[in-house]
Amino acid sequence: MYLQVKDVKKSYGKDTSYIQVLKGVSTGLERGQMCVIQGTSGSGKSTLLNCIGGLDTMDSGSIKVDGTEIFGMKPAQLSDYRRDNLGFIFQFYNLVPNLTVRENIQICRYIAEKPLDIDELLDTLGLTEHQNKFPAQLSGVQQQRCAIARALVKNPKLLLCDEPTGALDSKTSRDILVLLEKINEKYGTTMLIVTHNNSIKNMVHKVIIIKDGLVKKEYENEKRVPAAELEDL
Amino acid sequence: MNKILSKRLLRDLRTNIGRYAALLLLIVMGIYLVVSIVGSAEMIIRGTENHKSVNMVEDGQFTVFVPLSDENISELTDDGTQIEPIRQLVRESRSAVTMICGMLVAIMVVMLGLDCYVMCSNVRDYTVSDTKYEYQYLYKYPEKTVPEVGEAAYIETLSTDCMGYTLDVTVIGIDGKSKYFDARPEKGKTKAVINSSLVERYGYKVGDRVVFSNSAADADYSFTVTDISDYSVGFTIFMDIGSMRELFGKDEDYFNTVYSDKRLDIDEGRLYSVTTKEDIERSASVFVKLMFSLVVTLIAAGTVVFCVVMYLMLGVMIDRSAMGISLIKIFGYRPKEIRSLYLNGNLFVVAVGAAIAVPLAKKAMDMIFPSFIPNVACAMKLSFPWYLYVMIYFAIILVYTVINSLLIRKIRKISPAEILKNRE
Repeated sequence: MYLQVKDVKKSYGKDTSYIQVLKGVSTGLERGQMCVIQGTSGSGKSTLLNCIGGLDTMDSGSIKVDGTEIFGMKPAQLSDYRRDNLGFIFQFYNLVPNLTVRENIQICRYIAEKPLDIDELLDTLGLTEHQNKFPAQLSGVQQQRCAIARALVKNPKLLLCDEPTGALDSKTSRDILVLLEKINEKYGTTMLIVTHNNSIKNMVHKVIIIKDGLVKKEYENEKRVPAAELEDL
Repeated sequence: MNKILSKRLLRDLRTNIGRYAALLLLIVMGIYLVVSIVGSAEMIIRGTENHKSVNMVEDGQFTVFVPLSDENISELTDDGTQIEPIRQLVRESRSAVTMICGMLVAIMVVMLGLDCYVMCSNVRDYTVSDTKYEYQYLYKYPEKTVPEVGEAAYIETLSTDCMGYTLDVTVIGIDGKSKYFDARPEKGKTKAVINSSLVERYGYKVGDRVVFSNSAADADYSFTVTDISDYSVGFTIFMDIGSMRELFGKDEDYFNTVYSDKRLDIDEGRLYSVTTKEDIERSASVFVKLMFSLVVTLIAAGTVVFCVVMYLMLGVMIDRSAMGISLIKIFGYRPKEIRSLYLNGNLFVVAVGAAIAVPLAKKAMDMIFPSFIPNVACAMKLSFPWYLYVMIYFAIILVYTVINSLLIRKIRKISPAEILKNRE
């Protein structure tokens, strides 16, 4: 298993404000797979993503990415783990507004050991003609493409996407999903996508459904629907 | 009664106008400092909001992004990219100017303390070095003959006005070949050599006409400046002793002071006072001792204000960049890289700001300092030795380094999860 999650527990608060968000989540993902983590608001899917991304510390359990155990890592070690292994895509893009598209991508290229070629990436994502524009000059889908390029330039082993289509309409959402599918095929990037959109699960290799802090159901799609054919996005 | 009080207030205001103006200026600067510190965050944020669309800046995003290192630039420009490292610094220019203004005010307070110390030290040092005699005998009942090895002189005291204060001017009548004073006065009842203290305070030059008063006799005396003496003790003018006797209606052999290098055998009953060089040294040092606590207080207060301004302004910049810092932490930037992105640019601002603010503050304080002590008859030698400027500059950099370490802790506390709070 490329990604192994074993009995992960995570809680917040103390005494009267104590809440256990993850109650012992166990799952796994093979290298090169696209996986959706689905669940209602407050089910713990984003918390699980944050724990896998080293952005939040678990109370107990084990998370291994390509054989590396994350639990117990110090902040500096987690920082290096994210630097060397992960790419992030956010719902609201989180681009640097006073840097151009190209410069936003270069933020991550600067710290990558073996980065991808920027021009090729811009071409793949259809951003070549927009590379010198600022985020405010781009549409929502173009901004998300830029965010995807920024995440991919590091050539990450694992791409974590938190509601990547959450701020987009159905047409532009489809464009982004087609892109993610293309990237998965071209670069073999393992992807974990958190979403509450029910349609996306049809295009991925594996689906994990979380409810009340536990994995309620997980399965692999025998027949995947291409992103371009997804309905009801 | 009210009419009398208000008249008195007006008179006091007129006579002390310079002092009140200087005080008002300091109050305004202090208010500015407080307002700028308290209001800077709001001002910056509001200003940023107004120019958001032009400057592509949003709250919490990259603000001081950094001049990239040469290695970064060459690596990035190899891709054909044009990076403008200075772009971010220019966007933060308003915050930087505010910080420099705050630094200027704080440094002015420090300069006030240093000017005070320097002035008192210079008064002491120059008084000691300009006093070439060992003994000064001031007669109550002058003799007819000058004691052997003594040098006779005639001293009168006149007065002059400075910002409503009456200051003493010592008129010393000497022989043209005096070994204790470097003045060579010309003969003439209206000719005088003035000392450097009068030049520094009033800006007199050779050929000017100066008028001093004798309030007891209700008479004014006008002199033409024929030369300037380096003698710096108090306000002093030198006349030819014969001309002075004529001017004040004394006998042609009259003297009331004797200077000498040795102790003289003079009937004490005839003397008003005997002043030794040691007495003069002791009294000249009194100022330094009296003012020392004030000097320390001013320098400490200025340093505290400087630290507060620096910390608050830089802290605001970091707070505005919290989301950006959180973002690059998510990407995996190491603490050293984050520090170089967000703090190194500030060092540049502080270094340049200090280079501008230190001489500017000194110049400004030198201009207003005389108005703080208009009632002291002495020169205002306020010049610093060059190494003091260097020490002040490096002290500023050192203080910034200390504050920088506090800001590093602030940056460290920003968690990667900050940006994840940016949710609908």
